[in-house]
Amino acid sequence: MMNVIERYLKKQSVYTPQPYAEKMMNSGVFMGLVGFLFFVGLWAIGGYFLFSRSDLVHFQGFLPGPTLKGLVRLGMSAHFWASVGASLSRVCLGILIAFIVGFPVGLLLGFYKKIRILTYPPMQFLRMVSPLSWMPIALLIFSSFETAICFIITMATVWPIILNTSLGVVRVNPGWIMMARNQGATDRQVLTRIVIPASIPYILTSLRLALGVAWIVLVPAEFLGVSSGLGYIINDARDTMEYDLLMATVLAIGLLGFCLDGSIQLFRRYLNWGHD
Amino acid sequence: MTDKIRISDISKSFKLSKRKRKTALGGVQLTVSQGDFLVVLGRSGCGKSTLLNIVAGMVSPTSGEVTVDGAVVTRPDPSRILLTQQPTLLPWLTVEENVAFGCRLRGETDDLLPRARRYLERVHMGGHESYLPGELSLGMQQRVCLARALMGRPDLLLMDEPFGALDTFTRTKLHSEMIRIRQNTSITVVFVTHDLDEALILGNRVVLLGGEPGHIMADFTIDRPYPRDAADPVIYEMKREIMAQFQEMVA
Repeated sequence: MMNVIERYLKKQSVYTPQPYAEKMMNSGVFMGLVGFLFFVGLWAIGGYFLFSRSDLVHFQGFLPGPTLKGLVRLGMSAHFWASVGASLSRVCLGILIAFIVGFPVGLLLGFYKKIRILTYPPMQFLRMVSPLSWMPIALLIFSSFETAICFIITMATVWPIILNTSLGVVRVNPGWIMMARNQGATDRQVLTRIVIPASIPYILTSLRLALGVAWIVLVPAEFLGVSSGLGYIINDARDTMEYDLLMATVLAIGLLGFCLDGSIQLFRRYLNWGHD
Repeated sequence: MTDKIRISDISKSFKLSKRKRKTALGGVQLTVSQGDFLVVLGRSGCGKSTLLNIVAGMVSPTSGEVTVDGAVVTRPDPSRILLTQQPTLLPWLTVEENVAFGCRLRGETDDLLPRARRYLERVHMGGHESYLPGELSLGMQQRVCLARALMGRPDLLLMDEPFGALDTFTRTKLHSEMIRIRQNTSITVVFVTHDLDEALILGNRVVLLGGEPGHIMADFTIDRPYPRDAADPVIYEMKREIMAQFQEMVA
């Protein structure tokens, strides 16, 4: 009996907080730092044993010491910051386009079950195609590498946006829609006053997922042809055998991604009516 | 008094699965006069809510029709507000914005929030205007829903066990509030409940809904002045009579 009641209560609170993310935010900086230091220690010890072998000795740039020095060097170079700017603008533009396309499609899919069922197989199919496989096609269609990269990021991020937005629409409490209809709401008002605000938690989640995917796809996409961006720096560092810079860029990519995810989390907390 | 609602020969059946159908209502006949406080009394699952949803225009009947003020009901309308068992506040709006929601939808702009606060005071929720619904108990949320329903000045209020989740004290307060609203306005109320005491405190007419499929089995007029006292011998006699009817229905 209790079990039934609990399940019912859970159903009632439409806004289920995300326990894992919440815990991560609340468990404090201390634990986070300990985990981070442990990771660095693993890197130092593993690297020491690996790169003290005579045949791998010229890869010592991958060790924490040289990497940190490289990071400082990167931080002071204007070229690095220009590359960060270029990469960020590609990601933002790609996600923006994906959102402009994906959001209305998601709404449509959420509203009409027939369309949802109809598009399910092709959608799951396309979602599983690695976005990078579009590269040759992208290069054929678009003349510049810049647009091709944007296209790839859009192709990578449009799926989580469509799927989460439609999920948000499907999960809208039907009682709210009935109430609004009773109060005389038009179709348009049901959409703007009920469905969209009710889906905001899902939309924000979709943006967070999109950002994660975009950031991952960005680097390999930038290996191809462009002359700026974080991926380009990595490729360049490999060619010039500056392994400390290479590793430092890897670190910088991780750090920037971490910050981006964190800021979207903060944004989510601020906007999201679900978490209070 | 003129007929406000005319329910003629309503029946409603649902498809449960491919083979099974459930007939919730069969041949319901009922007229409600302007200004009535009609209580529809019945056991759980007898089709009370279905009947209310049909009058609200949320659900269409399988056969028969409902007219309100002579017009056939085909869709929901702000002049007939349905108050459901579960509160339906929008969690992203403050309490006062929730109360003003309907009026804002219909394009009203004149001092909405002060008006919303006045309605909140009437349901004993003064001072809670800037809360979010998630910060209120279920009972408090239900009172906000009542304030929202009243703010649109509907001439028909359809209440589906709205006070079921409230404690006795709040419930009693809201009962007197309902009586006051009814005395001060020309509002017609159809109130669905399974609580006989509540029915006797509120209604000037009580109908019993029951049977398989559900139909009106008995009709009582309670001609006692408000506020009523459960210890009033006439009310007590009424209670025994209705109870006896109930037992007969079950047998």
